[in-house]
Amino acid sequence: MIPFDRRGKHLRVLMAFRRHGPLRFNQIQEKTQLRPTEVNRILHELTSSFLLTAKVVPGTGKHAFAEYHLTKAGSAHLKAFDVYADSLRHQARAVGERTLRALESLYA
Amino acid sequence: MATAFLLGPSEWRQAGARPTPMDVRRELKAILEARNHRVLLMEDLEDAFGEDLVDKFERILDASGIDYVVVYWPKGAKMQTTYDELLLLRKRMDSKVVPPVWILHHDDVLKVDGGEFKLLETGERSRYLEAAARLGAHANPWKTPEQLREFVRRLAAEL
Repeated sequence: MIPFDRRGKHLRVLMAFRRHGPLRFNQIQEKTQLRPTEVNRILHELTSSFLLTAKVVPGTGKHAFAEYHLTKAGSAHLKAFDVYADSLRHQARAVGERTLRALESLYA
Repeated sequence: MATAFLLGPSEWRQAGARPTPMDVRRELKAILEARNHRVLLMEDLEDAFGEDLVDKFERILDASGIDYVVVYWPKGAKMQTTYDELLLLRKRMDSKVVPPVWILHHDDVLKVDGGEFKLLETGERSRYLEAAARLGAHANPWKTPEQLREFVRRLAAEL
C-alpha cells in the first residue's frame, strides 16, 4: 500500500513521476515543493514499498546518485487512485468542495 | 518467461547462523520460479572442463539467455565474490550487452541520502558502487526477511 500521509505527499511525489518520467532528488523537490527531509523520507518509503525504484547513476569522482523510476506497482497504485478520485468527483456534493479542491490539487 | 541470474553471498562473516545467505537465495529462487521465472545460481551449475570461476560466470551470461541479474546483498555476509561479480559485469559492458541488474540490499549496507548513494558497510567499497553506477543497476532497500520476499514477488511482476 502507498504510505499516505494526511496531506497526500506520497501521492504528489508519485504523480510527479507519471507526469515527468524518471527524476532525481532535486527535480522531485522542485516539482513537488516539498522540503528535502520530507523528500528523503518519502523516497525511502516509496522505494521500500517498491512503488519507486532507485537506479544508480554515476556522479563525479566516486559519487553515485539515484535516479528514481516509477515501477509497475507504482503505476498500478496511481491507476487505482484515479478510480477513487473519479468516484469522489461523481459524488461532489456529498464529498464537499474542500476535499475536491485538495483532490484536484494533486492532479494540477 | 524471463531468466534471472541470481547472485549473492553464500555464507555469513560469522558462520553458524541459519538461514545462511545461500538458503535465502534458494528461497528467493523458489519465489521467482513460482511466478514462472527461470532462475540460475552459479553453485547449481556444473563446471565445464578446465574453466575457472570467471570463465564459468562468462559462460553462463553468454549461453543461458539471461534477461536480468539479481544481486542479493544482506548485512554481515561474505561479499567479496559478489563484489567481484559486479566488477565482472561492469567489465563485460566494454564488449557486450549486460542484462539489467537489480540489487536487493539491506537497509544497513547502502542508503540514499539527498539523492546520493552511500555505502554503510566498513571498508573501501566505493569502486563496487561505481561499478553499480556504470551498470545502471536498480537498487531497492529491504529491512526484514518478509520485506525482501515481498520485494522479490514485486520484482517478478515488474520483469
